[in-house]
Amino acid sequence: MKYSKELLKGSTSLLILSILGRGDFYGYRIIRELEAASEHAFEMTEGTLYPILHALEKEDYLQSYWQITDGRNRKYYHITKKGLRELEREKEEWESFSHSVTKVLNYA
Amino acid sequence: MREPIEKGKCVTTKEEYINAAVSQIENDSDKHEAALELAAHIDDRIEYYKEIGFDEAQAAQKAVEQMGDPDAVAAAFSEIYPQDYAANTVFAVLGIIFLLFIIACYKFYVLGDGIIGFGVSELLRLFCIIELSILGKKRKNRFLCGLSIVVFLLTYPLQIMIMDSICSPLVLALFCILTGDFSCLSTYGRVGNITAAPWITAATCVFYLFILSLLIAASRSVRKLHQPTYSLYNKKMYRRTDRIQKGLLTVSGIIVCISLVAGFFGYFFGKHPTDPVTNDETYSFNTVVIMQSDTPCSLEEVDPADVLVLSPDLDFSLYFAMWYDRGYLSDIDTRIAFEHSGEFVRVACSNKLEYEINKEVVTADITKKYVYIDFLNDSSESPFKQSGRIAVTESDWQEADSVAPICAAADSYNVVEVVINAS
Repeated sequence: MKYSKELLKGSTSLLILSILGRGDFYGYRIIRELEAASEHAFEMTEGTLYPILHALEKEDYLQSYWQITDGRNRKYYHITKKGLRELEREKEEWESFSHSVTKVLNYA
Repeated sequence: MREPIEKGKCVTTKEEYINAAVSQIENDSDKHEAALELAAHIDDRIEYYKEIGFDEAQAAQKAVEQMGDPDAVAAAFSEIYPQDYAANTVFAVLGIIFLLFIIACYKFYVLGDGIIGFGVSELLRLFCIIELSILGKKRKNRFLCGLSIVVFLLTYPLQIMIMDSICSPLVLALFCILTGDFSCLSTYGRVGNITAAPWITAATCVFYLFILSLLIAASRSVRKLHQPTYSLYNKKMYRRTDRIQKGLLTVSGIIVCISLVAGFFGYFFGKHPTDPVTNDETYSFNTVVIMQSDTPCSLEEVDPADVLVLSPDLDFSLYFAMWYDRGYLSDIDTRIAFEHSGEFVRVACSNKLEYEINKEVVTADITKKYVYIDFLNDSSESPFKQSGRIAVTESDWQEADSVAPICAAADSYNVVEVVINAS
């Protein structure tokens, strides 16, 4: 099942931070990880990933560095301590939000 | 100026996509980095499509399609990298503050007091360097930037001669290191007998710290790019300008640090000019002798008819308010200030010699080219009798260092006034 872009929009930073919470990845790899983790439910327009990554970096949630892997120069992103705190915060917010939505939906 | 986003333009190649996507990023370095990143992504995607059976052209086409709308990416980037209004404002404000500092210091420089602590020349250079390093990031300004740096470096010795001889904490610090004489640090961060000196010094240090923090922030923003694989822009040029900027920022930081260290040392360990030690340089006198002569000469050679001795109930004291010997600035900024308790108020030269004594203004003709004023004390020897005397000239009045009086070059004595009682 694929979700609408609007639904995905509000949670992209949470998803990206969550992926980077598992390790340092470059943009393309983040997309692949996201697809794999969601069993292809989340397929974002790939170009739009980069402004999000840059914005997160500007907020100091991420740090980046260039590294050559497989003969190609890639920009890796690393989640910072501040990013980890933000991840935790967004996670809690999401869980609370989804719990509330579920409650409303099950309200009889 | 940013180019407007061209809506609906058909993007078919990787280069077109990247150019469109990064078109709204103003900073060249950020733009270059984003372009490299997008290129690497598209290359990865092309590789993937080729692996699953597409030919080169199809893979490239699908990879670009997969990236989505470049205009949307460009719009998103433009929000993250807004035009640098904030930075421009900061630098404009800094420029104004800087000018105010120069104006504020002007009085002191002209009078020879010299707020050495401000290190105006360093700030000027610092400002130039920061501006140049920012300019250097703009492609169109690169030539201008390069030219300016060359001119800047070529004229550096001249700048040192002109400005640093007056106000450079860097030169002061170097002088201390080279000569091992740290006593001259006492001249740093001091403002003569102005009681607000500690506050001014503190303000100076805060200002330097502010500049230092700006430099650190600027250094952090300079990212070192490793060997890129994609040459959409002139990568060598970017790496070079990044290096230059980093180097300039480092040098600026070192200058600021030296200034700060010198300031703190001077403040805490130096001798303040208004410390009691300066009492040694206080003299009293009760007689003023005004002499005129056609030629420069010594006191003994002046025709007695041209000597006017004013000796009412005077009780003047004269002291060197400023740095009588200030290390590397020795003799440059020495000034004399007066204190008085008598009635002798002022001596003025405005075609006629004019003096006010016992509340009466008395004038005397100036008949000779040179006018000398000597301050004497009949109970003790005048400090100037042996070492020189004051000459009133068109430009200013000065203290002579030798027995030979200072020659007045002027033919007339307009607008010359020695105000003894400023109150």
